[in-house]
Order: sequence, then C-alpha cells, then structure tokens
Amino acid sequence: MNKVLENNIAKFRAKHKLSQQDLADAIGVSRKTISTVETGRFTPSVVIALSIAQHFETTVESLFYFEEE
Amino acid sequence: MKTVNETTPLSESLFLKRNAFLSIAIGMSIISVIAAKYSKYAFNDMGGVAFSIGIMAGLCIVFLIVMLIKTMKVIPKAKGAWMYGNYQDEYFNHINHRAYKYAFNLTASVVAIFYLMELMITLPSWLVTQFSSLVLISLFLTYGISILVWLRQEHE
Repeated sequence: MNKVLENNIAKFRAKHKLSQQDLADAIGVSRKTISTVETGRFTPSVVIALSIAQHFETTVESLFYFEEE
Repeated sequence: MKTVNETTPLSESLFLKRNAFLSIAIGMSIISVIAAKYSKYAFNDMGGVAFSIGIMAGLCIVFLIVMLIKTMKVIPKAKGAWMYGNYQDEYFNHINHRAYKYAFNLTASVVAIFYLMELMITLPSWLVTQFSSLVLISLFLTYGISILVWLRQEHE
C-alpha cells in the first residue's frame, strides 16, 4: 500500500483568514512554496513544516498526515 | 549611505525567471546563428529566406543581450543563487535542481544518440562540426523551459 502525504494547510489558512501570500510572508518563503506544498506537488523540509505549525500554534502532525492509497 | 541587498523570495523568483529566459535566449541565439550560417548554402538567395533568418538571428542576439542586462541587475539581490545555484527558498531550489537534472539527462541522451549514430553511419560533416552547438542548445533550452514550466504551473 502506498502512503500519500496530505495536509490541512488550506483549512488552517481559511480558519485564520490568511492568504497564501500572507502565510508565505509570515514564514519567509515564496507564495509558490506554499501553493505547491498545499497541493501536494512539493514536499517541504522539516524547517518549513515546523515554521507553518509554529505560525498556526499547532503540531506538525495536525498539519501533515499520511493517507493510504 | 549603505545599500542593503537582502535576498528575498521575490528577488530569487525574479532571478530564477530571468535566468530561465537568459538560458532560452542563449539556446535560441545558437540555433539562429547556425540557421543563418547554413541558410546561405541551403537557399542560395540572400534577399529572401536567408535574409529573414539573418534578421531572426539578430533579434535573438538582441533578446540575449537584453536578458543578460536584466539578469545582471538582479544578481546583487540573489548572490547565493548566482554564485552557487543555492536558493534560500526551498521550492526555487528544488525546481532549479530538477532543471539541472533534466538538462543533464537530455544532453547526455543527445551525446549518446550522436555516439551511436557515429558508430553505425557516417554522419554529415556539418552535423559533426555543429556537435558542440547541439549539446549547448539542448542544455540551455532544457534548463530554461523546465524552469518556466514549473514556475507557471498553477493549481491552487
């Protein structure tokens, strides 16, 4: 069975009323990085995962999870 | 007064995009110069097709110079990317490395095909003399086009 990395970043952004650009500026990356992470086209490093989690005051596990195909 | 040239994701994005356009301009210029050189023999009329190809080659070189100047203007704000190919932004770093890989693979394929063809048949002399140009064209065009495609993909 294959594991696919999914995330809740879009939900957290919507909850905090943040645009991709706002989140990107807050953690010091490009909007492209946020958009590709959100859509699953790019797997971020631990540094970015922790930065996003820290920004939303949550855990990395609540942002990223595995889904089995 | 001190000038601060701080690297930001925006400046890196600009540098990456201009670098991609510069690569395409280099590839296109090499193609057009070769086309202009051989069109003289192929069409044998400097007033018609060969002249048009010459104009195209000139335009490609102008585009190359413009892109070179534009890219050089962004270099102070993206020094790490320019000197070592290291982008601070993870996604830009990722696509830059992927483009290098694609360029390497395609160029290696061109060299391999050329090598195999040379073993099997006698290649035309003009193709042999333009071998280095073909390698450079595949290298620069693959790098530039790959970067632009990945920068343009929008699914959000």
